[in-house]
Amino acid sequence: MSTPGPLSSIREWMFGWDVNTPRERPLPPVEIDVGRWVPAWAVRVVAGLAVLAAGVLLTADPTQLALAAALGVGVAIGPQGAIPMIALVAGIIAFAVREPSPAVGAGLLLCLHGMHYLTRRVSGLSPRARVELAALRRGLVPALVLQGFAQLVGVVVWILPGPASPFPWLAVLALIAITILVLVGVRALRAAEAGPGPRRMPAKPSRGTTDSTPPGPGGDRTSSGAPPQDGGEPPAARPTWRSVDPDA
Amino acid sequence: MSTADIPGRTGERPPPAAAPWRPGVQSIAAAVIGVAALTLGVIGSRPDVAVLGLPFVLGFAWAWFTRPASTSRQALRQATDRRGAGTDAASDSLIGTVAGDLVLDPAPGAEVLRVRVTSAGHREGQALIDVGGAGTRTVRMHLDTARTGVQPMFRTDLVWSSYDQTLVAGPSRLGPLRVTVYPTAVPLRRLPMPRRLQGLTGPHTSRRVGDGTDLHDVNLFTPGDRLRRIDWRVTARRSLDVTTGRLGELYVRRTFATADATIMLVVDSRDNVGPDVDTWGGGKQARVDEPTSLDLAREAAMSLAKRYIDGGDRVGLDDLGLRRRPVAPAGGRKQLDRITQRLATIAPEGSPTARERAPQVPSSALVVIFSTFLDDEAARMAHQWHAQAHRVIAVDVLPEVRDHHLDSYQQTAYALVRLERGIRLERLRRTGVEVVHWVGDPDGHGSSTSADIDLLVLSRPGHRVRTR
Repeated sequence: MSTPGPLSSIREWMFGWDVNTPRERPLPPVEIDVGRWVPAWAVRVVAGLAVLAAGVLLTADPTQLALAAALGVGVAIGPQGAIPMIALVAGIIAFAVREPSPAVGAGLLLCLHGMHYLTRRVSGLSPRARVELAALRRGLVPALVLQGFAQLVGVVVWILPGPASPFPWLAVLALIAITILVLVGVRALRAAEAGPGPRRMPAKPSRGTTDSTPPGPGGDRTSSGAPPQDGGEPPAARPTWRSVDPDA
Repeated sequence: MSTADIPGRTGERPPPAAAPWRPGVQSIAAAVIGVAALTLGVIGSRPDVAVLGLPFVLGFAWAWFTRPASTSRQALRQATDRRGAGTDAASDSLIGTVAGDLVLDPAPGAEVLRVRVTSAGHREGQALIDVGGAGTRTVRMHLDTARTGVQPMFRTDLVWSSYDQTLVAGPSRLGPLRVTVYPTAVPLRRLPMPRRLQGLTGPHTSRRVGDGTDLHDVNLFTPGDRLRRIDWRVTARRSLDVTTGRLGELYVRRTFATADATIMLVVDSRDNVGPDVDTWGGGKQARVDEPTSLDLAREAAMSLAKRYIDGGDRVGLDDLGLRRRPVAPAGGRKQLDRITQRLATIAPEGSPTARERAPQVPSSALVVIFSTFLDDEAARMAHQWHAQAHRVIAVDVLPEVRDHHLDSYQQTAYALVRLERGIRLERLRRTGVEVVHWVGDPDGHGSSTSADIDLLVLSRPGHRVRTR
């Protein structure tokens, strides 16, 4: 019997699937019931596309576009690593070394901020994780306000006289100061609304609780009506499948 | 060959301290990049560049001003959920759903929560959950399993995050919960009885004369017979003297006594093997969506116990693997609960020494032993009980075996094990022990009929033990 050549080895490696041996089924999953959700990989892909869009806005050079695409793929693969930061720095530097139009600046601002917003949500999650749409929306309003404010500042910078004049810088600094003041005011207002009143009652602790604070007189907060783990409530009539603590 | 599925009591660890909030590295990095862009814009007189860094700096400032002031709380508790129960066609065994509840009490300022839930034999589940609304939130987690008994489930890792993950708390660990999954009872039509019945009351008709309902015979009145048992019709017909008009001998109707049956269920917990032969060595874990031999033994014992107890018989339970006090034979609902609880906690533990003698069972009891018969121990016990004049039924609980993934050496080894098992089962049959296969034909030594049919055949009064 002759030994297979390199070509046949490559063919075997690429197409030589053994269809006769049954493959092992995937393990059954642990399901987490959340509200309306999207898979994390979809959010990752959108973040990667944002990087690619930023590259398209900045350059038409195929090499640089390929680099932007590679960064986009990197962001989609590893949103929790340093690649999003690298993409952010690369975008700002690429913008700084050119003299692009204000529209490009606005688009770049949107893409980079959107990429950062999305990667912050899915960092540390596996691609098959469930991302609740409500969690994706949480923090969207402040982000949109910041984005709008930055776009407004960009428009001001574009409309007002050129860089030789100090006025745009004064405008920028004034707007930043006003923003910080507004934020501090909102913070103080929220603290005043919260007041020194009693905090919400903690959940009834079970053996699995991780809070070190002594439990308050809170009632049962579960929606399932199941007996707590500490066995405070006897199990109901014996079902076929049930989950009770044998130590209770 | 045993596969221990139940780790230690991990749920009894003391709960760790609540995780404090700490800055997220990447958000700080983004803020630093934003500051750098602002600085670059100032130095280079490029306000458009400075604008690019604005949302990151202001976002960090917003996150800092709205940061959580206290720690969040979380708890893990069990829930009952029966939805999703289905039938595994391969093993005709129920797959049940087990659920747990994650109770979240976020601190003001916490916005989202990353959750990772793991259970042995399952793919981990991950989710990003919104916790920014007011009040607590309960998140339901569930998984499907064919396993019964005590199992650790739902080990949960959590990371709380504020706006843009500028501050994070965690990871915190909860659980795992020690969940007891009780076996199901398969409905059975009729079950075999012991050779001799016991007691003076019960649901069965004894061969002795006593206070029952079934007619035994009509006999002459003897001292000790109750007056209410006198059959006046027969007496008038047979002993009335028409000339004198007086009765001679009195006749009474005698009935069969009633009795109950004593059933002793013996589970062999020394083996817990799955369908895949390559998991029998212990290096690989059996799948959780397929019942193992111990799951089948629990299910079979539960089914028989329920059927016998519903019929009014006395049922006991013993474990061939552990030397502990057996559940003494008794009847009633509480006895079924007792047996269910004991069945759920049966598990292979260590390497039990071989028994010299079979466990003692009540006289004239029917002994039902549940085992894989992969070694001689259970068969030897069955032979001993049979020699003590007990009726013995051996229930084979080996699941349907798969040997696709075995190499040639493993195939040879398994062929020997299978051959020995076949010989062992055949010897049992020849000596008068009745053999029932719970899943039909697991490895070619079983039967083509279901266990219900086999038990129905064994329950016929004129059934003869096949000793071919």
